[in-house]
Amino acid sequence: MIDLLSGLSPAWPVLIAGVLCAVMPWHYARKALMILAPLAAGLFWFLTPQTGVFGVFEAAGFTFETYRFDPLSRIWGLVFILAAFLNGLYALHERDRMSDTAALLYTGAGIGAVFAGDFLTLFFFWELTAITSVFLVWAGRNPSAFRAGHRYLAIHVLSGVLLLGGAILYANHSGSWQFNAVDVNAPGGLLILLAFGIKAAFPLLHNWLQDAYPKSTAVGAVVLSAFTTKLAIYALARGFAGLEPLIWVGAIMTAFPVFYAVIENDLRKVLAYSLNNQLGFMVAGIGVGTALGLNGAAAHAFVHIIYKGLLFMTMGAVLMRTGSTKATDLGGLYKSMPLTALFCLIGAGAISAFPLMSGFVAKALTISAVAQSGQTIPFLILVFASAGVLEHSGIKIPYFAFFAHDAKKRVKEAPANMLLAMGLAAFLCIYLGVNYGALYDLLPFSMEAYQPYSLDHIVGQMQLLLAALFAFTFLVRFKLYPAEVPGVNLDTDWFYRKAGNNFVRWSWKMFDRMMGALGHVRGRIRARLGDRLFNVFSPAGAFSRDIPSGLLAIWTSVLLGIVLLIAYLA
Amino acid sequence: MTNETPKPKTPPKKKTETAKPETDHGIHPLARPFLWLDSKWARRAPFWIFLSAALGLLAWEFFHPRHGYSKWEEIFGFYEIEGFFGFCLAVLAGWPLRKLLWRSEDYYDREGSDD
Repeated sequence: MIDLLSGLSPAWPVLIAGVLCAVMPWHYARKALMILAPLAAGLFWFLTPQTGVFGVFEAAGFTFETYRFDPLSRIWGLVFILAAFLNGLYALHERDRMSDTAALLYTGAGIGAVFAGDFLTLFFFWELTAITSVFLVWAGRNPSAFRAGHRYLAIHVLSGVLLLGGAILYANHSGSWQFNAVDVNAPGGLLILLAFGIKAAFPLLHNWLQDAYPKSTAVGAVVLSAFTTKLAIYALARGFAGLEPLIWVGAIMTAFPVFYAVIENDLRKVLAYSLNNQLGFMVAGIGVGTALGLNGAAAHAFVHIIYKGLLFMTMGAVLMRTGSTKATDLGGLYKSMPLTALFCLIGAGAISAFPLMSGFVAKALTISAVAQSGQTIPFLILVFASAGVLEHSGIKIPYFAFFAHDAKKRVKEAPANMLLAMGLAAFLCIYLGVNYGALYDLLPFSMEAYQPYSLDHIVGQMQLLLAALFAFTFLVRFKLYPAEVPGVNLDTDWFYRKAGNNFVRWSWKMFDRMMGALGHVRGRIRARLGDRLFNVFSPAGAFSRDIPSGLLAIWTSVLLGIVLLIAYLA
Repeated sequence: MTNETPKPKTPPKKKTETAKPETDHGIHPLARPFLWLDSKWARRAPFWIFLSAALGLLAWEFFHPRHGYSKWEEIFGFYEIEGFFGFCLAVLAGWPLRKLLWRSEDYYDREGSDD
């Protein structure tokens, strides 16, 4: 029995549970599946005895590798399974069959994609993540979420199409469908990179994330935050490790969301910008491409899924209880939701990389890798972005939601299942920071030589954080911190939501008018020409006075003449 | 028959000094020990605490110079400079950025947009 299970991808139990959820009307049965499926997936993961490729089958002349278990996919697979379990726990109270089904299928697709050994399997699961996750956006069940879901789906399907197109070109060139390191200069290489870049929310391709995630439900945003972007990071690490421009792409990704997060009022949107910023650290590590850089990306992805999930969970609890996550509506919630506030502070500490927290032991690897690579400006940007993380996720989220001015919202604490999920995630944030060996043992390359808790590193990080904390109190004290204001901030989605939309509408109207005008002109021409032709060629026309011929005879002659001419020329 | 003169009704003693604050209503029991967080001094203290701690670590660095991977890290107070000024840059840039990018909440919901 164990031998039978050991070669099966952990994606299958989750996908099967998702299909069962779709047809199961019983709430408790669905919830049991949401807890049991990740446990089963975890069992499959643990029972896999060694690295290798399993679950291989052939169809239509192609070889599909459904379970490639190696040091890189192993850590991503495990954290996806862990996130699925926490998400299942967090969603226990929610009675929404669509959301349950979508969450499980989306998770299964994410796990499947991570373990895919070839481009076709990757493409299948890549598209499945898009198609299933959009239902989590639509679960918001309002017109805004519905429209955002459409945009999200269009962008992600485009990413899949680019991946397939790139993979076909690349396979033709290389002669193999295996998904390994991709030569960006080979045919299709750039398309594959673009496909990964869309899902990884590269700068200018990023705004689907801030558009869609905050419009989902409390549970939906938590589930969404875990898989899509981290799958793309995995794909980049697998395909484009050491591609130097990625260091710059990553550095820009870490920096620009910091500015947006400062002026954003919706705290879940702040978290979405923060997610972008965190992905930047991972992309930079992949760009460096050394063992330290790739370990940094993997470690960062692992801890990030947990603490970002935790922060989304806390904001989800706030949304559930108060009906809003806008900073202007909140404040003083620690009085009624103290445990949620505590978990939020732990998540904020972890993402800000305070010593003894998971972010500290993970982010150190990436920044050290970039520093060692001699890339001075990206290094300086990453350090700046570390202070920025403290601003938006370390301070802004907990401060405006739970402290700041008291909005006098006296609500109930989050439900027990939510608290349990948040508590477990918070525990992991601390556990992985203290017992960092457990994390480092999972990394793709050996980490025996690296010591995160060196005196220089601790002092340097604390200097950065304390100076930034002092800057915050300084700016607040002298009223230099911009007050929160309800509204939206323009980002790259403006180009398709406003400019593109208006252009299409304008073009359609112009086309409509043009067709109307053309129809009018055509009618007049037809009427005039028709009259004249009739006067000339009709049986009563001028031509027929001497030679009895109709219009048809004239056209026949013209056509015959053309045929003769063509025959002659040929 | 007793001729008791009715005692003039005295208004109940105001409990303004001893009454629990209005915000006590609906407050979670676990949060009660932390209500001091709302006091004025608790809001002012972090300024001085963080300033002292930052200066303390700067003094530490003076006596124990850092050896980093990058030459920038060896500049005295590098992390404090980048932490303070980086944070200020991010926040202060918010003023012009908001003027440039801010729109009303229904900006994308107006007719002709976003669908």
